[in-house]
Amino acid sequence: MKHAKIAFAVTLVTASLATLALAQATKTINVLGAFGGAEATKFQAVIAVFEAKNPGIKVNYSTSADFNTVLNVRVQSGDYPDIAGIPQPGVMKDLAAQGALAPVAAATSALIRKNYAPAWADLGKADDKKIYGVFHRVNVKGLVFYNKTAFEGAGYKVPKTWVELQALTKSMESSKAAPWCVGMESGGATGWVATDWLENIMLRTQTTKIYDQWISGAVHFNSEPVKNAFKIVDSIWGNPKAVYGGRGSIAATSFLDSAKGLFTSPQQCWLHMQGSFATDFLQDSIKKNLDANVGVFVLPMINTKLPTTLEVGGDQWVMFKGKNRPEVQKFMSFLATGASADPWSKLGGGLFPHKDQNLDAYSTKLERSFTEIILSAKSARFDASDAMPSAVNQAFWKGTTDWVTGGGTLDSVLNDIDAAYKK
Amino acid sequence: MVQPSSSQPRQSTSNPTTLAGLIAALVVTLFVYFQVFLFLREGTANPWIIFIVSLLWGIGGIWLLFTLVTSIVDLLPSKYRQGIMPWVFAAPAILLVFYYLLIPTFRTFWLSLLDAKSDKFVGLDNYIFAFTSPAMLESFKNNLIWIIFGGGLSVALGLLIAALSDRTRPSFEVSVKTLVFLPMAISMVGAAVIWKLVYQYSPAGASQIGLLNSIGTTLGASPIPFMITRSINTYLLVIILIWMQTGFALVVFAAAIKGLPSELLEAARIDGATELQSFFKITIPYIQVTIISVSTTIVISTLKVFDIVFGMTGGNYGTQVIANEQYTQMFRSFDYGRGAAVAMVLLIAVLPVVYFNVRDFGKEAKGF
Repeated sequence: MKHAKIAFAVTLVTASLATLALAQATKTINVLGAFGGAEATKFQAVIAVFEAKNPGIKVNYSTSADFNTVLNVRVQSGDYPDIAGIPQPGVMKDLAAQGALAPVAAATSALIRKNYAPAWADLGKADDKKIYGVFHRVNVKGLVFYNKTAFEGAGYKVPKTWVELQALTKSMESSKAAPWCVGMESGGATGWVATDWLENIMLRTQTTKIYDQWISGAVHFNSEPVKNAFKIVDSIWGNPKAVYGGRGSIAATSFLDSAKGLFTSPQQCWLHMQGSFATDFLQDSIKKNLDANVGVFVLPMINTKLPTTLEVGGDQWVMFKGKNRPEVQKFMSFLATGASADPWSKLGGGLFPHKDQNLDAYSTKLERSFTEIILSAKSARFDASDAMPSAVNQAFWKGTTDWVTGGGTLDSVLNDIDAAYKK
Repeated sequence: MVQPSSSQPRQSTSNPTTLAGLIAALVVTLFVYFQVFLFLREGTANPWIIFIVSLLWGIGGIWLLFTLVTSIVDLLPSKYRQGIMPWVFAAPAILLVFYYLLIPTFRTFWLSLLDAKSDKFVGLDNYIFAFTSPAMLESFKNNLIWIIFGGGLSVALGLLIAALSDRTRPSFEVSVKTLVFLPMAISMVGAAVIWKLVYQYSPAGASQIGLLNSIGTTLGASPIPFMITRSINTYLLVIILIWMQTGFALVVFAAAIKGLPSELLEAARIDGATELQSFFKITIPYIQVTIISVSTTIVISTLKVFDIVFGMTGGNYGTQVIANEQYTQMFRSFDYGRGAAVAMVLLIAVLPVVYFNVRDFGKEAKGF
């Protein structure tokens, strides 16, 4: 009996040590990202191409619905993943400043310079001017979606200017449907739809310099340029005839449902402004044939003296400190090439900024046209609220939500957001 | 009595080699344990290997550790042994409480004195925020509504249904209790999802998915966006908690009322007491301790309420509560200082209630 116990104990110890030694021999890359579900499956297709090209390397992708929380907790406890895909440049800059990240290798940064427009390289830089982030899947915001059949059937024309857009929506007010569908309810993240609207108006009324200063806090929220943007949004959202259900329904309607209003029967509205990802929210029957059903134009410039600037967003992939092993660098370089874009664009639901990607791979003309909008943009800026410090982003979301639902006057809301910068 | 005398020669520290061997084995085991911990924390191996390693070390490893430590203590002279042995058994529990409860509490207190990134000491700045910021003042007001309406109505309804159903046919009593108790089996987030469908709003003219608005519009009223209507939304959220907690209060009260000796009530009736009088003067005093325990338990859950608010409104539209504000500061704004200060405020608010609860628990325990 005694011998059996000792034998068991010895086996337990040696077997465990052997397993541990064995497990450490395989090369694995741990990747943490913000997206799950169908998007994660599509990213697996990208990983599969990489693994086929590099036998012996295994890429483990994991995700969490509360990505930012999980990442922050892991960074705080020193338990870094190898690579993470961060949606907010503000978070990337915070992590780089804390010394948690490793800049990309020289080979990767050469690829970035070759395959991307300079704006994307700049967006991947932290305050120390080194490139940390590789952009892979991106999106473009400030697109106006419409129901192609109904829109053309009613004899409407796509507006080329802000004045034309205003005349168009005015004439729509007396039609069978409201001009706009707007929904901003998004659980704990309620507010981002409003901040997206404001950012797009900012880019269409102010110079990119003012926009950048607004992000850095040099231009306050309670200042003329920002107040003006709120007033322009209010001229649409606050007009009961301009929005389906009126202002009161904006915060009570989910952003997922509001896009569907273009295709409901009876039709609820004519236009819906959202990022390129809005095609995911449409009815299944519409999604089956996007090209025939959905029309899109870019929200026109308001100040026509300014060059057109697009608002873009996207996850950037970063390496963590001490994790820049050769195989990790290899994967980062792979993400910076068009070869990593094609497996996903073939499956749909992703746009890519790589100049060397295969545009024919896109499954729909609509997505191809979005990509062409991104590739041809002379000037682009990132989603401002995502580029602001987390506390300001949070205050911006809450402030706009309060403003829309009557929880404060414009001045009090703007002062509340400004106060978040003081920390 | 034979056993001790036979083990007498063995334990007189006559065997220092065995002792040294056992201590060496303990050191090796602890070392392997640490390696296993590092391996599991990495978490990259095949899930089956992780499963087997954690199973082996979760059960076999604990057995090994325990056997080694008790064998070592067994070899000590009996005067030490008697003092040490209880601690061997109690140590895991004490260590766990210390590691998972006391250390985090002190660390939270320390973080609450530091700035957002826990770099600089800022004194009481975060507490000034916790007691003066608009979001926190709103939270204090709302938590008070949660305590008074949520706590009060759950207890009152539970007591009422318990007292009334006690007088009904047993089969009817069982079905009433089952129905009222059923929501207890649902998680808070699950309840939030269910009630989202009750309070759902669509603009006038569209088909109403929400239960309340569907009924309302059928009767000719215009739809109400319940969750963003500031005058009523917090109360509507409190109803969800009442829906869940009444069942808990009901079963505990029903059991207490069943324990009320029927002679007492009969005597009261003979003395001419009305039903109401016997309820307030006999039933309630008799189950007073139970009422206090149930009330304090529910008050604690209303103070800590988070899931319902997080799931329904995210703390927007004037429905913020302390626990959700803590989450917002900690995990959305990433302001660890403010988040920790709000957590400390919540802890301090809960402590007196916990004290009441535990004090009465002690009273009850002495009765047995």
